[in-house]
Amino acid sequence: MCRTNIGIIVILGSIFLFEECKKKNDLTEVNANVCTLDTSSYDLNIPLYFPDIPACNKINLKKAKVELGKKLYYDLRISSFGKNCSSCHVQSQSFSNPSVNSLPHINLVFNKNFLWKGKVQTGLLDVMRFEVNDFFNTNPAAIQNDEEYKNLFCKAYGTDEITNEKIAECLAQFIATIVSGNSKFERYLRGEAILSDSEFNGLNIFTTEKGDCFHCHALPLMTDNSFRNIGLDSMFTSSNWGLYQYTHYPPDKGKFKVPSLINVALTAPYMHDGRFQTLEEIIDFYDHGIKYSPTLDPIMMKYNRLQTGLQLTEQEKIDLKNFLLTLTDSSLLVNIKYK
Amino acid sequence: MIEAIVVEHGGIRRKLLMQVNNAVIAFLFILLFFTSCNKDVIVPWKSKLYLEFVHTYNDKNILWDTLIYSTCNSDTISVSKIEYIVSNVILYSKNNSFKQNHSFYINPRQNKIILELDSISGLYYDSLSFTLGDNHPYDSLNMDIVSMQWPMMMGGGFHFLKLEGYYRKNTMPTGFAMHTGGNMLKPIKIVLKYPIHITKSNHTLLIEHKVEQWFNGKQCYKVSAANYSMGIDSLMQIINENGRTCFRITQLK
Repeated sequence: MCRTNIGIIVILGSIFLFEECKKKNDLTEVNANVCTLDTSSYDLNIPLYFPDIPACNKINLKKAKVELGKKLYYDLRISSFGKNCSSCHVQSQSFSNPSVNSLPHINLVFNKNFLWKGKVQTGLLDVMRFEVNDFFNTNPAAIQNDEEYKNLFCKAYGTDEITNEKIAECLAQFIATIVSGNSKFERYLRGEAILSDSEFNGLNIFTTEKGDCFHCHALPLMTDNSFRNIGLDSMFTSSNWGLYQYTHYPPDKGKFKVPSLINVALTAPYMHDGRFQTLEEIIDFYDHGIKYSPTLDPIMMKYNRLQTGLQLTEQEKIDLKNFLLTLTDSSLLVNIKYK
Repeated sequence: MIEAIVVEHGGIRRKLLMQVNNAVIAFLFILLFFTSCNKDVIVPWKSKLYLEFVHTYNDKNILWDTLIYSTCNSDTISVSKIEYIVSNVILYSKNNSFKQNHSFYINPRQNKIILELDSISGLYYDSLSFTLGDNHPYDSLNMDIVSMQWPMMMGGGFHFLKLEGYYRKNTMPTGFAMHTGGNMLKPIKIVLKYPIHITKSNHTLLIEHKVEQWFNGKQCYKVSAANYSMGIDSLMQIINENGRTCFRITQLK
């Protein structure tokens, strides 16, 4: 009787412990005959002064998944129409592409809101799910028989089964590693570079009420991750609804994602519809081109700005542009980690 | 007889052995349980207190983006944004105090605001204080707090508050923004008297944020006369002064 009780207790205890441990540890089922699972972690090098990665993007980065994600990023078979991620996100253009006016794939792991109109606002992995399932209409069968992929999926997952969910996860892992934090301005912040007088004056305009760029393009990511109507238009139709297109909340009309200005010199054309071709045009717009609408961001109406403009002098405009040029991180453009 | 005693003696030994085995296995099992993956330690006499911020205008839950609110000088306004940092939360009793050092970013439009104070050991507190703003919230430098930075070119530090919206000007909605903060100003200290009797492991303290008080506090903040506080110290001083009257505790649950 006693032995039976002890037996039952031990069995129940073991089941309980096994279940508890199973919950807390990564499942590492391995098809021992075919695959060797590589669970080694990928160390993300986060620049000084960068914020913590938001909870929605706390991804457990694995070397094997990042490597696989990189291959998928450049593989035309990922879509049903012969395009891949790099078709719209070219490394030499800061992972953007002027022909489609795409938002750069840099520092996205620090973002909470994605895409110009905020179609996805729940994390990097969800953006990649959207891209794989809805945008690319990815068919895993297209790469199912590729021996290299079989090996890479084996390393990443312990099985060579390929699914859209795994493809999305690996793309998210790779994109999470694209971190830009080595522009002249960032080196200046770290005490490794000196700004010229003109660049410094531009910084002053950028980060004071004079130019008032900093409220939206908050340092160090050069975006506050918000959606704003900055006064590009005074009337709204379906082509420029912005965030309203997905929220159907009238105060969201004309609001678009505030883009990061890191590498801004490389990401022309500008604005959600690419209406401006140069930095000079942008500066002129902010100086005296803002249009009123009922949802215009309050910050854009500051000090009678609608009537008087910013009143920047020509020299101040040059200084502001020179500061914006210090945001170029050339090392990112040739970094072999991302090729 | 002797045989019977031996048999009985053997039975007692077996019984004893079985009990010892039983105890050893139970002990090992308990040991295994506590040294396994679950490292949580339950300390029954420590409690959690959640602070839930409820944003109201004239005692009713605030309606965002709606031009219906009247201020001290009869401006009609709407509120589209409130962001602020709460830090240095302290609970006081006669002989005791409990301090939470973290800084919390609050944006009621993003999510329900509940701050968690963990491991409270006292039983009775009679007041709560916190600081609105913090110029050194580096313990939790998340993206939201980073976006509250006050640029170095203007003295550095962090925004304590961003309150934005629209007011009616010649029938047209026109923007206003009340920002305060930076290293040049002291964060706003809020002290709230309220009996906080800790009787269970989890409590929630409802704190009402009376948004109208930013305009209607000790001094009238006239949006139509000065719709932007940025760069104007005297306006930021009014905001800071009014901020002291913006909060009250309404309930302990």
